[in-house]
Amino acid sequence: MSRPARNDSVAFATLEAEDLTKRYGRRVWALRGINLRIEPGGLVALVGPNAAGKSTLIRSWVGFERPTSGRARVAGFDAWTQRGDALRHVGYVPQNPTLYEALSVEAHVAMAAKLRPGLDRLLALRRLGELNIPLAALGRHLSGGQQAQVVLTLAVATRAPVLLMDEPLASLDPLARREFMHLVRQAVNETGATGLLSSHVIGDVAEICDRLIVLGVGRVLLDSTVADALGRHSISTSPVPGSVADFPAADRTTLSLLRDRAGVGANIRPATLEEIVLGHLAAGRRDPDARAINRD
Amino acid sequence: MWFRIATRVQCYELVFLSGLAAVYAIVTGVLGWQLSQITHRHAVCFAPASFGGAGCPDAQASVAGLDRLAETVLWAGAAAPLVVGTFLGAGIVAREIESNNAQLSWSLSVARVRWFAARTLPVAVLAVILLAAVGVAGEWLQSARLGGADPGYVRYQERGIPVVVRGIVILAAALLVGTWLGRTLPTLIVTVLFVAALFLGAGSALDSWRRTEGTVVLMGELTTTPELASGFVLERLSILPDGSTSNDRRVDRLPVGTRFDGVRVLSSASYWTWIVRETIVGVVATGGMVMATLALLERRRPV
Repeated sequence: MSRPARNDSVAFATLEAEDLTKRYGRRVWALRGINLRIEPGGLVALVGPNAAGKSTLIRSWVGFERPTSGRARVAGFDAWTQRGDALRHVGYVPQNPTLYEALSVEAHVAMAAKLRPGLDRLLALRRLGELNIPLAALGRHLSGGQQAQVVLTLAVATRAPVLLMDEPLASLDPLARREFMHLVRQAVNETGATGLLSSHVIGDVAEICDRLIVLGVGRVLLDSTVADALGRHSISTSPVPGSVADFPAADRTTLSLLRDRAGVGANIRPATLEEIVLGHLAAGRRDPDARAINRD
Repeated sequence: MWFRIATRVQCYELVFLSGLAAVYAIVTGVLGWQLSQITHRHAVCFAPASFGGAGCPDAQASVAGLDRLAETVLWAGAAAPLVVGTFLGAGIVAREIESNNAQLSWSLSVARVRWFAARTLPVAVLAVILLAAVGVAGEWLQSARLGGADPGYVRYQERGIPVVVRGIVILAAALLVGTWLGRTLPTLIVTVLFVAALFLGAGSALDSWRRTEGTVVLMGELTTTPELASGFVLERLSILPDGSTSNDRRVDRLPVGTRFDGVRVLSSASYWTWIVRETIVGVVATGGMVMATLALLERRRPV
């Protein structure tokens, strides 16, 4: 996986979560004491099942969620109490990105330029041209995929050092997903920004990301570079005591995820990224109150 | 550019409300013109102490019919602030949240206040224009009904500046409720209830204030003194021989001669004073609700 070429014109920003907890109402815990630090550069996958807390975590960094306790910081600024300063460092692609139905694509660019001083209007128009998205088309006339591309383009055009993307692939067909992912990778490489992309489908993001964070039941279950995760896990096709977790395979057999390469034998083989994620999710589900975070 | 965005995003409401305002202005214009024409052509029939003459019964019947219609039209004008304020106000924050657009615009905007101002001010200006059209048309019709005389307090809530002020207060209320609820239809419903409670409270407080400045006169003086005829009748009461007043219903049953029918009234000379006061109250209420909206907006999740 190639590291992005950093552009010196872009300021770099670190994403941090410090004992970040978010509770909805009295009982629903979305995040339970998340501690994370994402250094500038590269593309990070935030993976987890539905209700794992992925959106809440991303929205905390955008300043959309008030933490119940702890802090979410962007470039050192508290995303809730210093929202304006934090937002200057963030480009955001929401889940189900929706354009204004009655506004043209060009009007969206103009509006974004008014709202975000410093937005690179020419960059936005050039990228939209490359994507063959007609500038005169109204939001209501664009497909879900095109709307997602427009919103990504606006986020990139902010020239923000951090791109936060909250399951932008959810509404896209397989081809559009692939195209979108290439756009994301290209944008991160060109601008040197840090990209954080959430998805509940590991296959969508595994290929292009540099780092993997697995979130489950509001906790970080795994935080590792993709290369390290692949290098340090293996799969046993028969149950092994002391494994990270056992989980069902597609053929209804049970697989065991082993931490550290235990050698390759008759029953042991290298783990795929999807198996690593499934194993850690199974571990998180088996022991929901565990505070341990696996940092490889 | 924000003006263009506002007109495009709220295109349907604006077309609908502009159409209503145009129809209202045309209807009031035609009615007022007809009333003026008939009363001018048959001036002798409408002069004080006139004994009428040939053609007077027909002219008076026409004017009476047009006057009833004019009353209905003016009543409709009183609804303009509610319709304009709720429909335009609910279409800003509540709809942006409901349609997921707020996620995009709030993440792009480094200050939500800036987004709010840019999004709201053009709509507020358009609302003022629409309400001013209704207010001016109502003013013209009421004046025509009175043969060009100063209408004073007669149907004062259905015309002129109060129409504009009330509309802006209701727009601010819709913004506040819309920011709180984040859904368009519930915002429309709750705004109507909120505004009803707000106006009931404010109306009651203003009436108490007006009473302190009202003067008590005999009922007969209402028709003989022009300034009182177009004044603001605050309450009906009985004047007792010793000069004291009572609005006790039991006193009303006393035989004639032991009491006199009276009213507490504000002279039409105080019209502009009270219009300015009500406008100040409206501006303060609007400012308070906008501040509350901004405070709420800062804490609001965009979905």
